[in-house]
Amino acid sequence: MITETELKTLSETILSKCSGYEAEVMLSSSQNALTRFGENVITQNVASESIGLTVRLIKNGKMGKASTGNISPSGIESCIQAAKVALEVNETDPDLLPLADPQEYQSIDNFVPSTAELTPEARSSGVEQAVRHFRQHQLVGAGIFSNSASNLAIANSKGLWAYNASTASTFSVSAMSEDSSGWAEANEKDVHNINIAALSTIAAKKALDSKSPIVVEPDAWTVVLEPAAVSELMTFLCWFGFNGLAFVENRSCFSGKIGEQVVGSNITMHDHVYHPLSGGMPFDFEGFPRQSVLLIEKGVLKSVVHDRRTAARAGTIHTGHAMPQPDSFGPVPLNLVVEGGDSSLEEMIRTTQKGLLVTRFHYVNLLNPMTLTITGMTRDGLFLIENGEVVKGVKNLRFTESILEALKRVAALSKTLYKADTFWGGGGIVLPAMKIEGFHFTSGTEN
Amino acid sequence: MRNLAERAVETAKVRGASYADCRIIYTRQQDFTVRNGKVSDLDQGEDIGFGVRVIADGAWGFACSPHLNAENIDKVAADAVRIAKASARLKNEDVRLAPEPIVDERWQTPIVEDPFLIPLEEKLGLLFQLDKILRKDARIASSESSMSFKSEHQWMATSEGSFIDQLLIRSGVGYSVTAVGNQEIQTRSFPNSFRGQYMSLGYELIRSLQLLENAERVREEAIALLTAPTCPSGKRDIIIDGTQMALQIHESVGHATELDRVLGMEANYAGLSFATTEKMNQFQYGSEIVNLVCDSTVPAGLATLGWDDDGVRAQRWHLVQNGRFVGYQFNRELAHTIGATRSSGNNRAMGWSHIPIVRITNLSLMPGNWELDDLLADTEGGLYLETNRSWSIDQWRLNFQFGVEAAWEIKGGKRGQLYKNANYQGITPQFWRSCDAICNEKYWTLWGVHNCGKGQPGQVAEMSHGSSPTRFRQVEVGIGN
Repeated sequence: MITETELKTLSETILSKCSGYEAEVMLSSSQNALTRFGENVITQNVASESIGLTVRLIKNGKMGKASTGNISPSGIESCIQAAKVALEVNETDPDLLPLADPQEYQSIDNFVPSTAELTPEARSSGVEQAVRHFRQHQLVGAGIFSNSASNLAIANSKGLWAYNASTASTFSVSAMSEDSSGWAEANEKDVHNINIAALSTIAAKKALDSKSPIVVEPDAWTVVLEPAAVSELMTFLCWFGFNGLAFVENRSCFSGKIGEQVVGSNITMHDHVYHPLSGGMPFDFEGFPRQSVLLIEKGVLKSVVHDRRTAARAGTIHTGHAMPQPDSFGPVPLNLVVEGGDSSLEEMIRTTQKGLLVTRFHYVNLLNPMTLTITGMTRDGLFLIENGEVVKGVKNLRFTESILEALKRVAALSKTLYKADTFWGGGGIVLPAMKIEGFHFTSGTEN
Repeated sequence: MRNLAERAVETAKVRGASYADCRIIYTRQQDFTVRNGKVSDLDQGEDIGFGVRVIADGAWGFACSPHLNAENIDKVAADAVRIAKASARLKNEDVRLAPEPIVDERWQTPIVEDPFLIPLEEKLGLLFQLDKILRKDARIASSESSMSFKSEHQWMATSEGSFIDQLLIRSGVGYSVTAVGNQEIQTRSFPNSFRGQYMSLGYELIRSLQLLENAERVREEAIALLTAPTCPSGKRDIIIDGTQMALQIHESVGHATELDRVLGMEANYAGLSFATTEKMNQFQYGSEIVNLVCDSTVPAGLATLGWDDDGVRAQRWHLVQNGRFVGYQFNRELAHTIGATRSSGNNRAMGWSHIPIVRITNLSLMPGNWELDDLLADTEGGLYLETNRSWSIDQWRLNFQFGVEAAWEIKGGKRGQLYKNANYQGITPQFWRSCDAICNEKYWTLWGVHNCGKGQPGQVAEMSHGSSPTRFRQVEVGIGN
C-alpha cells in the first residue's frame, strides 16, 4: 500500500501538471488477501494490490474526468490529457459547483496494522480451526477468511487534503448437513477481535438444529430477524429511501414527507460514521466533512442525506454525503445506525407464541420503489418458534414485503447493537435484532 | 509482454510450482452518461497489471500487482507460491488439470468500427438527442442515456508452454426514463434495462439499434404505467419477451449449471445448485422443446473469445437437450469430477487482479417455430411480460421471482390492457417443463448481461443469452399485489 506521504507527494506532482484548471485528484491504494474454502478444503487463496487515480478538471463552466490504474509518469500524463479532452467536448454546465476549500475533519482511527499484516499461513490456520469443528460434527464447511488495508486521498488545487486509511477483516462461515445449513460472520477492522471458535460453533449449531426441516405455509408470520436479516431491509431503505437525489426528483418514498410519521414510533435511525462500531471515512468524495444526520426520530422522517446539488434543490444544507463526482445515483447514508430497544434476541424468542426465527436473507431485490417492497429468500437457518422456544428447522421461504409497512409492525428491538457489512462497503451499518409482526412470506421452495 | 509473462512462470517454477500461468492485461474503457440534460459521467480510463496463478504442493495460490517490472514480477510469483503452500495445509487431494493442447495463438473480437476512434462529440451528441426526446413531458422525473466501450488486451503464458495473445472489445448503449405521479414511480428502458444492450461489437452496435426511433414510445409507456391498473394476482399463461427471457435463462439455468457451485465451492456466498451431478442425463429440466446451448464461439456474444483463462479453446455444447439435463459449465480443475476428459472452457477472471473461476458463457434458448402473432392469438387471456425490473432466486436456484417493467393482457390476438408492477414466480424445473411455445429465429436476439457478479473477492463477468418470446403455462403472477 502506498503511504500517506507518498500519496501527498504524488498528488502535488499531478496537481502541478494541471495548471490553468481547477483540479481535483483522488488517489487510492489497497492490498487485499482472501482464503476461501468449500467442502472442508481450501479452494482459493489470493492476494492483490491495486492503485487508482482519478483526475477531475474544471474550466469555464465545463468539467472533464479521467481515471487510470497506471501511475507511471506516462500513465499520469495520459490520464490528465484524457480529462482535458473530456472537458473540451463536454457541455457548459451552469450549475457546476466549484471544488471544496480546505476542510477540517474529525479523526477516526480505522487502521489496525496487525490486520494489514495477517499472513496466508494465519488465514489457513483460522480456516483449519473452523473445519476441525465441522468435521467433529459430520458437517461440511464453506466460507472465507479475508484481510485488507486500503487508503484514499483527495487533494485539489485549492489546497484541500483529505486522507483516510482503514483495515478490514471478515470471517464468514457456512456449515452444512445433508438437509440443513447454518451461518455466522464477523467483520472487524482489528482481525484479533474475530472469534473463529464462536462463529464456527454458531454456524454448526444452526445446521444441526435445523436438520430434517418441516414445511410451513407461506403466510403473514411473526418473525424474529437476526441482525444480518435486518441489514438487508436497511440497505434498501438507504439506497432508495434516504437517497437525496431520488428525494428531490420525487422518486423516493420519502419525497415531500419530512415531518410525517413514516414508520413505527419505536424506530429511530441516523447516519453516523462516528459511531464506535462504524468504520467509514470522515469525509465525502468531494472532501467535505461527513455530518451525523438524524434520519428518522420516533418514526417521524427528519431528513435524508444530501450533497451540495441535492441540498440546493431541497433548500437545505448539505450533509457531506457526496459520491464521486459527477454522480447519477445520488447521495446515500453509508453508515446507518438504527437505535436499539430494551429487548434481546433471547427475549424476542421467549415472548413469541408462534413465529419464525430468520438467520439471514438471500438475493434480495426491489420490486416497488414507492412502497419500498422487496423480495428475497431466507437462508442458512430458518426456525419455527412455538410457545417461546425454537422447536424445529423450517424449509426456506420467499418473502415479499414493504419495508415501510414492516417497520410499522416492529414489536421489539434488541438493546445490543451489531455491526453488519454491506454490499457497497463503506464501513458497515449498525443495527439491532428486530421482532416484526405480520411479515409476509409468499412462496416456499424444496430446500 | 511475452518475456515478462514467461519470466513470471519461470520464477514460479523455480520457487516450487508444478504449474503456473501469468496473465498481463491492459484495459481501456470509456463510459458516458447523459442524465436530465447534463453529462453525469464522462470517464475515460485505462488500467494495466498482471496476475500469477500457481499450483504448489498440490494447491492453488494467486498474487497480482499493477507494477509491471521484472523485479516485481519475481516477487509476485514468489508470493503466489507461498500462498499456494499455505493452501496445501487443508486439501483432500492435489489439484488435477484436465489436459489441453499447447498453443501459440492470437485472437481478436471481429469489429467493423473501432468505438475508440469515434469522436467523443458524436457519442455525446447522440445521447443528448435521446435525452431531449425522453424528457419532453413534465411527468418525467429523470432520464438517463449511456454508452460504454471496453477493450481488454491480454497476454497469457503457461508453464505448459502455451502463449495466447487476445484482444476483446465490447460496446454497450441504452436509455431509461422514469415517470412520477399518481403515487407511482414507473420506469421504461430501451433496448433493455440496466444500461441497455451490450455486445462484443464495435460502434456498429450503436448504429444498429434504432435508439432514436424508439425513444418517444418508451417515454409514453413510462407515463402510461402511472395510471395503469396493478397486475392482478393469480395463475396465468405468460409470454415472456426476449430481454426478460435472457435473465430467466441466466439465473435459472446459467448459474444452476456452474459445476463449482454444484460442488459446494460457492456455498457460503452465491449458494449451491439443485442440478446435482447424479441428475446428469437422468433429469427432465424442461419440456421437450427446450434446448439450451452454451456457445463461446457465437458471433458478438459477450463471452465470445478464442481461449478462456485456462487456455482452453472456445466451444459449443448442450446443457439441456430436448428438455433433458445433459451438461455442465466447468474448467480444467473440475473436469475429472464428472468424468470429462476436457474442460468446457468456462474459466474466466475479471481482469488481472482476480483468479479465474467458473463463469457462465453465452447460453441460449434455441428458437422454436412460432410466429409472434400466432403465439399471441393462441394465448387468449394470458399476459405478455417485457423488460426486467428486478430479480431474485434462492440459493439452490429453485424458487425465483422476477419483476418486469411492463405487462399487457392478451386479448383478441393482440396486446391489450397495460398493467403496472407485474411480477411472476416459479420453481425452476416445473417452470421450464411448462414451456410449450418458443418464437422462431426471426425474433431471436443475443442479449448481453454485463454485470454478472460471482465469487469472493467479488468478480463481474459478461455473457450473452440468445432468446425469443417464449410461452409458459399457468404461472403465478402479481405476487404481493
